[in-house]
Amino acid sequence: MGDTNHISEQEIAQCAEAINNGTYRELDQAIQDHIANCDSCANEVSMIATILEEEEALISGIENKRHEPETKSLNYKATIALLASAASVILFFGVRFFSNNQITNNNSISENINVDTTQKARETKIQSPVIPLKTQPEEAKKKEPIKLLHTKKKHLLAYTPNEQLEKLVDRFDGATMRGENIEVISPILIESKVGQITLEWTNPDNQLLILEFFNNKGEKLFEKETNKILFQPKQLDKSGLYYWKLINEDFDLIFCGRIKLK
Amino acid sequence: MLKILNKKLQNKPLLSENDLLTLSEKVVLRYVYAKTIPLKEKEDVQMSIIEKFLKKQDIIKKRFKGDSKISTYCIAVLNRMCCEIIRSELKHWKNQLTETEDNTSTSALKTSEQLIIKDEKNQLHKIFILLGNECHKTIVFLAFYYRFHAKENEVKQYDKDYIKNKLIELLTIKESSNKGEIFNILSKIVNLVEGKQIKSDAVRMWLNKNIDLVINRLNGPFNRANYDKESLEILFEYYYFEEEMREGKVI
Repeated sequence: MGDTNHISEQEIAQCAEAINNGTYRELDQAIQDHIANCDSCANEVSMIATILEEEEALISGIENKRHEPETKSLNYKATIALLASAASVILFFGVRFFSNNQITNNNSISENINVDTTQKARETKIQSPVIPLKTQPEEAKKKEPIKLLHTKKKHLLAYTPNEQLEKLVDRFDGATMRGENIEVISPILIESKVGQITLEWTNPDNQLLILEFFNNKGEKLFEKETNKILFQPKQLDKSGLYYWKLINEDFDLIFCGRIKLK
Repeated sequence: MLKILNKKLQNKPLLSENDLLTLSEKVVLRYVYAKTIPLKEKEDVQMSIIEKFLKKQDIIKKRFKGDSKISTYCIAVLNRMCCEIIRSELKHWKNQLTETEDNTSTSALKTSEQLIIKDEKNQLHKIFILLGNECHKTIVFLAFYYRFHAKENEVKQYDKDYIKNKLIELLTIKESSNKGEIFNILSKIVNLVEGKQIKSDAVRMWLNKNIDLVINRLNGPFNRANYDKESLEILFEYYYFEEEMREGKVI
């Protein structure tokens, strides 16, 4: 352990990750025993675990950036290219300066020099874009991951399964329905475009049924009472992952399924 | 491997400037959210911890052992630095925090009620995990103490031989049971499961100690909340019956 009285920051980080991975009980028993008896360390671990849980996408982004391959060789090459092109440019302007000041009729030579220097200028033009562009792609690169991260994060968030509701859905996957006469015809997972979902079931006794709809955060969006055999949830008007429950008039849960809207 | 890791870290900052800014903000915001740091002080505290972090970067790098992600480790370091600042400044902030509380609109509080309950349940869940070996025993015993029915999956985690030991039957609530009878049953269970020979008083003291510990941890750090035994029971009920509440079976 770190200090004489408390665990180190490294150990706190390790414990926080273990809590979120479900591997806390596999950690060193001495650390577990200390935390069980130390409010201060327990609070720290708890705080870090909460931050990790809430900022999962951010932490992944930071870690992914760290593991990107280094561009040392490119920088080295770019430095050489910079020096070479700088030398070429100086040479080009130097030669032009001298050739303009010279009182000579040796046009062929100057032409050759011009051709040479023009050729070199062309080469530098090819090479030199590497140098200014070095900063541009990097700057673009700096912004891009953040943009991508936001877009990816938004996309991921809309489809991230809800742990509790997933457990409920799994219970109904392939299992017999609770309601005696009511049978759900729709599959456990419905994938469709927005506005094109129909939920169906049998209801021979014309029972009053309750449909509840949840988003993937587990928040109830709306409910509907019906004694019919189908319903089209037009209120689900955004793409994402949703859950629905079918409840009978005795408030027994008959079915829980998933809806993925694109 | 540690030498290679340390060599790689030597020439590279632990975090980029952007990442340091972002992570330090996340850490400080948690304490602002918990009303430990006044909103006005947020930026000052953030700058202070960034400054500290940069000054001690070499030492921080050396102490990294690779047992966790670097970003997690940095969050832990930033958090500890934040706590040090809070400890030294809390007295000065107390007035500001009281003013902020008075100005909070009740309608804003109501709309965030669900979020608060969810956060608190998560907090309670982590507190139980951090009890280590006593995690499931505490949950099972608390549930019985509060006269909630026993949940098989929790009892199983406490005692793998729960069927043989007939724990579910022992943990059946009798409405007429008083606290004395509750602790008698719990002491029977401890002796059966753990092979001890303790009396009901010992179980009562153990459970009260753990209740106090849970309350302290819910209220910490820095008195972020004001739980007592009554409010713990309410929160525990939300936590224990989370699944049933989602299914619409309100207890």
